[in-house]
Amino acid sequence: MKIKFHQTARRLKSTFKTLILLVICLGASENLEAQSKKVYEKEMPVAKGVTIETNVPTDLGFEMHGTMVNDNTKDRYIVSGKNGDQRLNISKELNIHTWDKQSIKQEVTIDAHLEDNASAKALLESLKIEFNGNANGHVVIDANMNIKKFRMNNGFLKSDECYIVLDNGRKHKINRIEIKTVLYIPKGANLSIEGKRNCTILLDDLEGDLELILSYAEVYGKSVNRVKGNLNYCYNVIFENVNHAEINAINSHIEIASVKHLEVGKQKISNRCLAPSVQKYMKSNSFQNVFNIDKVEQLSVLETANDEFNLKEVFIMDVLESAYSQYRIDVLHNVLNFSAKNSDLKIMKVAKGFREINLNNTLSEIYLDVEDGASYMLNIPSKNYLEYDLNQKFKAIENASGSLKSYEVGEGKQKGVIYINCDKCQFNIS
Amino acid sequence: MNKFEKYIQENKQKLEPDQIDAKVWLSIENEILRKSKKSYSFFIKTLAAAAVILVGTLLMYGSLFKPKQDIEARLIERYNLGEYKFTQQVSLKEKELSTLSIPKDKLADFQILLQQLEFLNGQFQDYTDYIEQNGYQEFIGNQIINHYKSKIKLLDKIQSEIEKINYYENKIPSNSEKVEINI
Repeated sequence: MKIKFHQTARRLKSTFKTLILLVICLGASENLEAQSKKVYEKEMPVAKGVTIETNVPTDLGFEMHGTMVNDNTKDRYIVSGKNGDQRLNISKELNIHTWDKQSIKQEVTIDAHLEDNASAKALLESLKIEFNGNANGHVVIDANMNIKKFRMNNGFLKSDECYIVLDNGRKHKINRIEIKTVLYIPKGANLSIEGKRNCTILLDDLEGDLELILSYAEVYGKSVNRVKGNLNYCYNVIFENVNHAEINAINSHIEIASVKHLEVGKQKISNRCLAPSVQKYMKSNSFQNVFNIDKVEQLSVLETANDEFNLKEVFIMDVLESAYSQYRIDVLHNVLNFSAKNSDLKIMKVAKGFREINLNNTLSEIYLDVEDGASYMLNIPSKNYLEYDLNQKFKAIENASGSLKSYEVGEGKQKGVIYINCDKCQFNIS
Repeated sequence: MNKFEKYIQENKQKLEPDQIDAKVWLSIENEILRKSKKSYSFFIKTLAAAAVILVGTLLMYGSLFKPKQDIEARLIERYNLGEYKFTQQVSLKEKELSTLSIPKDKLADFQILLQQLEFLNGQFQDYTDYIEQNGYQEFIGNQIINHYKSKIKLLDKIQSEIEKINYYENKIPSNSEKVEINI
C-alpha cells in the first residue's frame, strides 16, 4: 500500500515537472520574436515643373475587430491591442523637404517585430518604394510604400492577431510595426497632398504650386508660391509667406504671416474632403473658419458664411458675398469694398491715406477709427435705419438730392470717400 | 386458389363491417392530430429558442435595438466626455432657442445658419458611424469635443442674431408674421 502510494506520488511529480517545462517552453516561445529595422530609400529624377501627388502616413487602411486602444498624440498615431501592447506606431508627421536637385526621394524607416527571423526577412524583402505615374502625368507617392492595410483582431479567448497587407494582397503576420516617412522634392515642383485622417505636414519653401485636400490635418509651411487649400476641420494651417492663396474651408484655422493675394470661398470645398452624409448640407463655400492673417496686400472674399477674419494689416479688400461673418482689421491702408448681410466689421485704424470704403450691409455693427489727419467725405443714404452719432469734426454738407447725408472731415486736397449703406445697423466712427 | 382464399372470396360481404364506428375514427383522427401537434410544437419551441439566442446575441454585441438618439448619451458616458457638460449646454441652448421667433421675411436668410447646424449634426453622425465600425479612437473623441464646441458657438451665434433681428423689429416693426425657427 505504502509502495503504491510512493509510485503514484513519483508519477504525479514527474507529470507536474513535464507540465511546468511545457508551460515555460510555451511562454518562452511566446516572447521570442525577431525585430528588424530597415531604412528604405528611393530617388528618381523628375522633369522640371513636375507635379507630385502624395497621401499622408495616417491614410493607411485599417481593419480592426476586438479590443484596441488608439493613442493619437501630437506626433504619433498608435494602435495598441487588448493588453495594451503597441501593435502599430505611425509617425503622424510627413516631413517634406525641398531641395535644388531635380529628383524626388522617399525615405521610409520600418521597425518591425515578427514571430521569427524568416518572417521578418520575408516582410522586409516584400516592402518596396514605388513611384507611379497617373493619367495626368503626375508622379504619385504612397507615404506607406506598398503597405495598404493594417489588420488586427482579437477576442475574449484570442490574443492580438496583426497583419500587414500589401498592395498585391499578400499578408504578413506581425507583432508590431513602426513607420516613419520623409520626402524630398525639387523646390520648383508642384505638390498635391491628400489625406483624411489626423496628420501633421511639415513643408519647406516651395516655389511651385501647392494643393491641399485635407481633413483633420495640421500644415506648417514656410514660403509657398501658390497654395490652394480644400480644408475640412484642419486645426492649424500655418504659412509664413504666400504669394497667392485660395482657401475653401470648413471649420478650420488658417494663419498666414504675409500673403500677397488671398481668395476665400472661391468655390465649394472638394467632396473628397467630406463624408458623403454631409455633402448635401454644403451650401456655403466657406464657413466656421478662423482666418488670422498678419499682412495681406489684397483680400478677396468671394463667398463666406459665419467665418471669422482677424487681419492685422490689409491694403485692398473686396468682400463680394458675406453672411454672418465677422471682420476685425487692425489697419486698413487703401480700399474696402464690402457687400454683406449680418456681418460685423471693426476697423481699428483706417490709415489716413485711404482711398475708399464702400459698404453695403444689413443688421450689423460697424466700427471705423480713422487715423488723425485724414481728409475724407462720409456719405450715408437717408433711407436706412442707422444708429450713429457724429462728433464736431464731421461737417454736414448740403446735398442736392436729399437721399444722401454727406459730411466732410479734414481739409487736405486728396480726399478719401466713405459710403455707409447699412440698414438696421449701428455705426460708430471716430 | 386454395380453400382459404375461396372462403374469403365467397364471404367477403359478411366479413366486412357495415359501418366503422364513428368513435373509432375520431380517436384515430385525434391521435394523428396529437402526433402532428406534438411535432409542430417541437418545431415552434426550437424556433423560439433560436430567436431568443439570436436576439440575445444582437443585444450583447450590436446596437440594433438601441435608438439612434441614445448613441450621443452613450458616447458621452462611455468615453468620459461628461465633464464638459456638452449635451447639457446644447440642450439648454436649443431649449432657449425653441422659444424664440423672428419675422417670417427674415427666415430665408437664416437658413444659412440652420444648414450649418444640420452639417454639424451630419458630421456627428459620421463620427458615431465610424465608432460603430472601428471602435472608439481618441482622435474621434477629440473631433467630438471639437464638434460640440463648434455647435455651442453656432447656437450662440444663432441666438445673438435672433436678438439683433428682434432689437430692430421692436424699433421699426416690419408687420411680418413671426415664426419660430424650429431647431
